[in-house]
Amino acid sequence: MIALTVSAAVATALLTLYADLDSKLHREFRSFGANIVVTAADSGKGLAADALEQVRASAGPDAQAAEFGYAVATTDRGTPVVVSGTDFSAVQKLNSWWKVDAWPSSVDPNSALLGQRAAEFVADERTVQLTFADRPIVLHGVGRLHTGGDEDSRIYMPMAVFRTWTGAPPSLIEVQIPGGSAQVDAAIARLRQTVPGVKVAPVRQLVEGESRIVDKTHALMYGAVLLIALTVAVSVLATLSASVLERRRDFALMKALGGSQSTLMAMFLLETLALALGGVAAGFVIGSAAAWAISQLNFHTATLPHLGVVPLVLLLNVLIAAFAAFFPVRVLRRLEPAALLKGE
Amino acid sequence: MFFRLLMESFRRQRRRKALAGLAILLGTTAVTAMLALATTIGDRIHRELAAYGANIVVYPAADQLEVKVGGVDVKPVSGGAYLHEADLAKLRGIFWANNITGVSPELPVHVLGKTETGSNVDVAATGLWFGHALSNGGAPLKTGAVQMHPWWKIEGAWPQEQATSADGAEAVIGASLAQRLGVKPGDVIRTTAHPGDASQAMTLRVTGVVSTGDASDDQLLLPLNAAQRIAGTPGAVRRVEVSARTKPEDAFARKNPDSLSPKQREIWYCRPYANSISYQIREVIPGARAEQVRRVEQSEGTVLKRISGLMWLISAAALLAAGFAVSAAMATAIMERQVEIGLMRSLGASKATVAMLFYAEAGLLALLAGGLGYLAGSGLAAWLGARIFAGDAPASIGSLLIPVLFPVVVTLALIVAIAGSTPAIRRALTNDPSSVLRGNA
Amino acid sequence: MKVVKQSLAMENPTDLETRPDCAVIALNRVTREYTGHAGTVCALDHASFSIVAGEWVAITGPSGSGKSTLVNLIGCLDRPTDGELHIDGVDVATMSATELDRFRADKIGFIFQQFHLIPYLSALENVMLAQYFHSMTDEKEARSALERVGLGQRAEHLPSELSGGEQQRVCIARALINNPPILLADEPTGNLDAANQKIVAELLQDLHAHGHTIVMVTHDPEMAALAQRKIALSHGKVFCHPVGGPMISLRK
Repeated sequence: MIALTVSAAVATALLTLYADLDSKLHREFRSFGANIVVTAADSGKGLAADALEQVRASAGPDAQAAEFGYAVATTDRGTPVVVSGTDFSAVQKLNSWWKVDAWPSSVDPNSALLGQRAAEFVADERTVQLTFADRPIVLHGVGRLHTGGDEDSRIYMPMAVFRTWTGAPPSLIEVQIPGGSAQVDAAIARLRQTVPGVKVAPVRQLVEGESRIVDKTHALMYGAVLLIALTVAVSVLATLSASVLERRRDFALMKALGGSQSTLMAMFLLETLALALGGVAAGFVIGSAAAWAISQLNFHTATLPHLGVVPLVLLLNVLIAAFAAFFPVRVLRRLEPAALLKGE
Repeated sequence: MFFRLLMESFRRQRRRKALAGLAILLGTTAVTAMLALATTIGDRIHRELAAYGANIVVYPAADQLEVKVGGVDVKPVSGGAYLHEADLAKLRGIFWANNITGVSPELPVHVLGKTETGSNVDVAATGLWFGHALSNGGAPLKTGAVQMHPWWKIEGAWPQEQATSADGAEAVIGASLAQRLGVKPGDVIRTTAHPGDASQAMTLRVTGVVSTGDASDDQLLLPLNAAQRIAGTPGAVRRVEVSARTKPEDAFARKNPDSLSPKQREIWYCRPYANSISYQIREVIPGARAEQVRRVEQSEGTVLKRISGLMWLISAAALLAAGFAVSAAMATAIMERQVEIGLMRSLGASKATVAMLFYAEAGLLALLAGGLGYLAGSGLAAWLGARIFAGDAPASIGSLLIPVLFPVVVTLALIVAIAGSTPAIRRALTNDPSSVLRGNA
Repeated sequence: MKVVKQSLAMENPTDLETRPDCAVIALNRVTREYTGHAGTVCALDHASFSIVAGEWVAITGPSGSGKSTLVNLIGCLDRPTDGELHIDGVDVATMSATELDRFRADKIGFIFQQFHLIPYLSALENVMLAQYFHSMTDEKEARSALERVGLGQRAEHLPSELSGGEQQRVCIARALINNPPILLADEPTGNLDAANQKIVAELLQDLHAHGHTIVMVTHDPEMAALAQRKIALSHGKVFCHPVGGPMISLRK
């Protein structure tokens, strides 16, 4: 019974994890940032003011979106620098890899984030003096931004202030759609339909790469499940054989008392089936708990017990029991009641 | 006599041992395969994630501020600092040289000229390596922009660096630019030199149209040596993208190495963090700044941690299942031999002697079946790895086996076989030998 | 069947005191109880008798009479709940389990009804096994033991290749190999046909003639008749009587 419980538990745990694997992995890939980029169809005009709302509505509640506007300003030293207006709270959620000394608070509308390279071309990081088309502004830098990418050469400020100062509209919306390439494609189609006057493009390397990795991990787990199932099958075979051997004399007695071959085997198989079922019930509980623990440990999110797993586990267990019962059944067949009862 | 008992038991009772042997074999196969996969998964995932681009970027320390929006240089910087292309060979000599899987230097230039049909060409272009062999005397690393941007799709052929001569070179054109200018593979663009500097006029033969999905679609992509001629800056490199196999960042990685004690610093240096590799790059390339591309590196680290964590946990599950299977099988094998045990006791064998005998059998079985399982598991891991992560270089037989796994797996098999037999042996020994012998068990 | 003349060996309690030094086996009020969920069962009830060196004793009785218990106790495979049991002058009740193992290897040679040979060892190796657990293996001695029972030519054969009678003879060789003072035979001919029975019986007689002490449990009256003396058991109690004589209860 224990063997069948263990096999059911292991199968449940692995299958539960397997079922959830996709969503878990896709969640991890979210840390790469946006997988869709929305730009204005007419690059001269920029995006409409309500474009962000429309995009958010179309992309769905799980998506993250942040808009960016760009302009080239001049520092007090005469160096040209790219200034970007954005919504910091949205960016924080979208781009978790941004290493920031401190995020600008919403209290000071002129607070800004300085890219680490841009910061070196500025006299005083706390009071940054910039000019755009002869319009001056003073920003209060709250800290540096480190990304190792183009962002390091920019200065980021709140969108509202950016708009009033430069008059430039937002030019880019970065969108993050959770899921694989199927969901991304669907989202792109939706966006193209519902938001007018925009170009929607996937961040190609992200989407392709992600799908590939998830598929491969999937395949790996599949292989692992098979291998482990085989191993467990052997343990079931061993314990079933053991139980038959132990009760050889009982079976022999029943045979001697007139039980037919088929009755005996039917009894044994029925018993095995009952054990398999019992094992599945107990195993499901233990396996789900194990899957939950593993998921917490590794992915830091819970994997809930998956009832859909039960039929598969049941099938697996019964198959294993049937396969494992084959050998002991043969032993039963060959029982010589007389010899056995005499004590040979 | 002890050994004789052992040998004869194995020689003449093969079928009885089969189940236990099978359990150990399967168990060790499963565990070996999982462990082999778990330890190499880092490599494989990195290669997959290399598709996301470089995780380390190198640029001149004294550089001017880039003015780039959407990857497009709004105010292309002329002059400014450069790195030396020759210095890049030193990357093959740093401590973690073998972890560097790709190097792609860039030189942005401005191209002025005309197409064959007479359209004006006034575009940005980038000089890149295409299939360049990077070596500092040792084995070369074949690398370049194509390896670092696997999502670039080419219609035609990539340009050959060797085809660059004093007045001509091959080039590929970005898809959007090609459409705008009406240029196809086979066409020629003649560039003019910039008056007043060392730039040269070149004839660019377009060998293909490339679709990149980013700002490069509006550019010409040339071999680095051609770009250097056009710009009149021989050996110059503006920026280098590096792809390295790294260990995911943890709290220790974020420490400033100069603030660590010498011993700690050595440990930090000898771990392949993105930070330490960047540090080593800075050491060998004068005038350079190197740092991790956080977007790629952080996420790569996270994904790697998750997946390898999953693999290790599954390995643990495999070990558990295997342990259980072996215990059950050993228990069965021992139970079948109750009478034998009773007999030996009656002949005067002490409990210890009988136990030793059975433990020795279990141990020998574990060694044999475990060894076989190790081989089978290694083969299985290699096959699975090749099937799933297609595109790996075909491995030699030697690289299939991970030597350190052998003692680990066999020791595990021994421990499990012996631990698994113990309850059965104990139970068998507490049985009354007389009742066993008289068939009353 | 040779009928050997034997002396009347009628025991009475006082004999125990007069001949303690010659007694190879001496039981004094030995009791063995088993406690189960059905209560306590008394398998052997205050048995007292002694067996002298060189005697051939047959232990008879229906099943449930305590024969097996008695055999186990004498064979040091079990320990009495109460009473004294002296084997070769030593009180086995005082021995620890390990000491008992050694003692058993030294003093008792077993011959079982079901032979109990190790199936994957040859006849020779089976005999050497007994040597191994006792002291050291000596192949030459093992071979000569097999020759003694007439199986010198079959030394390399596995038990599955030997007939029932031959297997039992191997067992006898095994039982003798360490020269134990007591041979304990539990239904030695129970699994044999008439012809093989004869062969084994003759072998036992030969051994007895050479001075071996044989304690034999048997159902077979013909086998019992070969012995010098019969000890009968009934419901855990010992009844002693000479061959052919009336039953006299020993219990006080």
